[in-house]
Amino acid sequence: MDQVGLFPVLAVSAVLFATGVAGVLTRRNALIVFMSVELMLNAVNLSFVGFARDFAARGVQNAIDGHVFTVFVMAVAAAEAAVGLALVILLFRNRVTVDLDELDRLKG
Amino acid sequence: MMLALIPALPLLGALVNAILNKRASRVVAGGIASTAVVLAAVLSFLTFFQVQGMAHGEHGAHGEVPHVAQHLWTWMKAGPFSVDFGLRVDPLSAVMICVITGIGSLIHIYSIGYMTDEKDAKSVWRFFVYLNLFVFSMLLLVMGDSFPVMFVGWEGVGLCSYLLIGFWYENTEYAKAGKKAFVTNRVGDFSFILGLFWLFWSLGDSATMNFVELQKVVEANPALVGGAGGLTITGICLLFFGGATGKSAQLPLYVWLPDAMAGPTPVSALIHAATMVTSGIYMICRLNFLFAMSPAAMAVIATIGALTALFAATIAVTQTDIKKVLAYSTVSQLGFMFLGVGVGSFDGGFFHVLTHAFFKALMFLGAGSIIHALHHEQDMRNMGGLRKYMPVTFGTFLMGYLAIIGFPGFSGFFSKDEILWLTFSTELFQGLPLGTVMPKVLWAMATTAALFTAFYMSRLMFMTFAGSYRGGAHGHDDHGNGAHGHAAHGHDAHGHGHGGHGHGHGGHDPHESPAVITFPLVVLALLSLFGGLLNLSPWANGGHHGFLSTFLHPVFQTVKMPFSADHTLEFPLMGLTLLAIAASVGLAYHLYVQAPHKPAAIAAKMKRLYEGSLHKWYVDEIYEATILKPLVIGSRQVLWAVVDTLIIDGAVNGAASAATGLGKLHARVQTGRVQSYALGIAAGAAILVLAYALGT
Repeated sequence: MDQVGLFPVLAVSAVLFATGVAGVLTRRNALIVFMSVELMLNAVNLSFVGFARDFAARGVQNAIDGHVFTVFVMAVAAAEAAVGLALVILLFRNRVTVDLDELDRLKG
Repeated sequence: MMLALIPALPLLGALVNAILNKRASRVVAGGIASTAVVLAAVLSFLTFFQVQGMAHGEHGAHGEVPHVAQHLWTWMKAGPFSVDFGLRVDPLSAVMICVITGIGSLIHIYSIGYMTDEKDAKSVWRFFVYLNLFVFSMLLLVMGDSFPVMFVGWEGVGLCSYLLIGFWYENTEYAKAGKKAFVTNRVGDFSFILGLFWLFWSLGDSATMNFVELQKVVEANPALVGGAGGLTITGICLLFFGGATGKSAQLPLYVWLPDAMAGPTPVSALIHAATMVTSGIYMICRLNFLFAMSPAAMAVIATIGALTALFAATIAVTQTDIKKVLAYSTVSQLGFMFLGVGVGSFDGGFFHVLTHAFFKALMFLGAGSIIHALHHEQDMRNMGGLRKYMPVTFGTFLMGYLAIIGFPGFSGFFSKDEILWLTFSTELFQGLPLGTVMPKVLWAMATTAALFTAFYMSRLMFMTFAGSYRGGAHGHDDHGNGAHGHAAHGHDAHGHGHGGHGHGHGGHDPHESPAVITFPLVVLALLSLFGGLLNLSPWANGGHHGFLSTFLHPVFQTVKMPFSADHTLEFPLMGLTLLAIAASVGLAYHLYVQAPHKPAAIAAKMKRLYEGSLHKWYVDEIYEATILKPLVIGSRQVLWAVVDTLIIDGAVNGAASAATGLGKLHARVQTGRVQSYALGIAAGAAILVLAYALGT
């Protein structure tokens, strides 16, 4: 398991991201949409890490940036998860549903 | 000396009164206003003597016009063209400011007495604010050294006139009279502005708004305005004259002046007899160097003047409202002034401005004194015998009367006689078609107008002062005419001061007015009597020109007006006129004193003529039918129904509904579902990525 190339990492990342986008766009359940967003975030993390490794292998300066970003994104994702979950719970308390199709009060 | 103080003082007076507002009682408000104008009058006379001193000093020697000037600030500047806000007093303005502030002071003082019975004592301050504002505007008009400054004054006096005519605005008729005056004046002003534009345009690069510079430019290069006698200069002059017909109440725009009598009587005296209405004459005198270039325009001015003089005089003979008679008389006398100016005698016409200011202000104030004493009775049929009750008013009124009919020795005699003679002897129109007969015809018209003047003024005198008092029996008797229901006719229209007295005037006799009212009358009577001395005709002055003509000479020196040197007919014509006037007075005496039943009989016999004159030759009705009606109908049916509703409203509403429609269309995008928005974002991102991928 010496070295995995950049391409496989990016391919997995793209698949993960596409899955996340599809989930966000198609699922009705707010929790699942929420989880899909996490999926997208982590797809990006994955590509960050992949690029960082690749840069380090090629001796690019500041290749550590990708790792720093990943940690940063995880911190933000954690905060976002806290807020997001709180929102979903409040939503459920108020509307007794987490079906996004029913939440169209802002219709023009 | 601070020239600007002269107009600034009345403005200050107006401001102080406006700030004091209702806190100022009648006497306080009047006192402030009068003080401001009296101080301005003192300064004006000082300026006058200063200018007069220069005339004898070094200025006169160089042939330069003696003047005092003050540059206040640069008003507008655009490239090489600039307009200064400057004041300039030359002999012409010097005389005007003395008349305005002098007579203005008298009338302000008189107003304190006149406004005693104003029902709403709380609004007297308003009256004095307007009066002061008027004096300010009028001073600006005559002192301005350029068209724009003059025009500010020109519009200002129109505004004040409107405000004062409609002073008793609770009465709809009065408010309408004010509106009529304003709108009619605007028609004239429009013509004035057009003339100004044309002049400005034709001057091209050397355009200037300053009178002195303008004169230099035009005299240096007459070709700029199409050369003397050309179409351009005639057009410009006629447009300027159009402005003058509005302000100075000449045919065809005179209709507002008789209705302007709705205002308080001091206003009629100050604005609608002595000062504002003469601003047209002043303007023409100021622009004499332009008008002198166009004999055709001068001919039009003279003709309109003579026509107006005669026309208004024929209306005055049947009016029963004392102020209406004086109003038409004013229109008629203004016609004389234009005739004088039109035949080329700027100083002659201007002299009549001066004497007329004296005697007409006097007569209006006298009429005001009567109206005041009779508790707002204006109908002469309810007067009579007032000589006994109001001796001072009678005595002073008599002076004005003798002046206006041209009794030898009185001021009006000299000015009117001079105009008549110069009309007869002018050679200005020689080059025009009918140019040789024209002076004679104009002379005949003017003389006829003078006869009418003598007749209707005598009628006024006899009906008012002779016989016995008819006011006791209230209610109008019967000379077979019904002049009721006309604008601003009614003495009952504003019920001021009637309260305690009740309507029955019979209870007590009329009484002489207090000194605050009679004092100005006496001063003006003296001026009417001796005003002629200001400009004695050459025959009465040892062959020299009178004081005023000599004084004004520098202003008019560049224009040479041709008059016949043959004076053989002067005295015979004068004698003829005097005889005819005497006969006219005699006729009036016979009809209104000896045989008072005759006028009604004559009126019945000449019903057509009588009715025509009584109804002012139906001019108002004709204007109504030919101008106002089409205008109103056109506005309603075309401008309102089509242009406004369909086109303008259509465009506005169309734009609005188009916006609404588009908005509704777009509103469908806003589903309220987060996921559809997210789809948009994703699609957008996809497009960007694709574009990036394809681009490289």
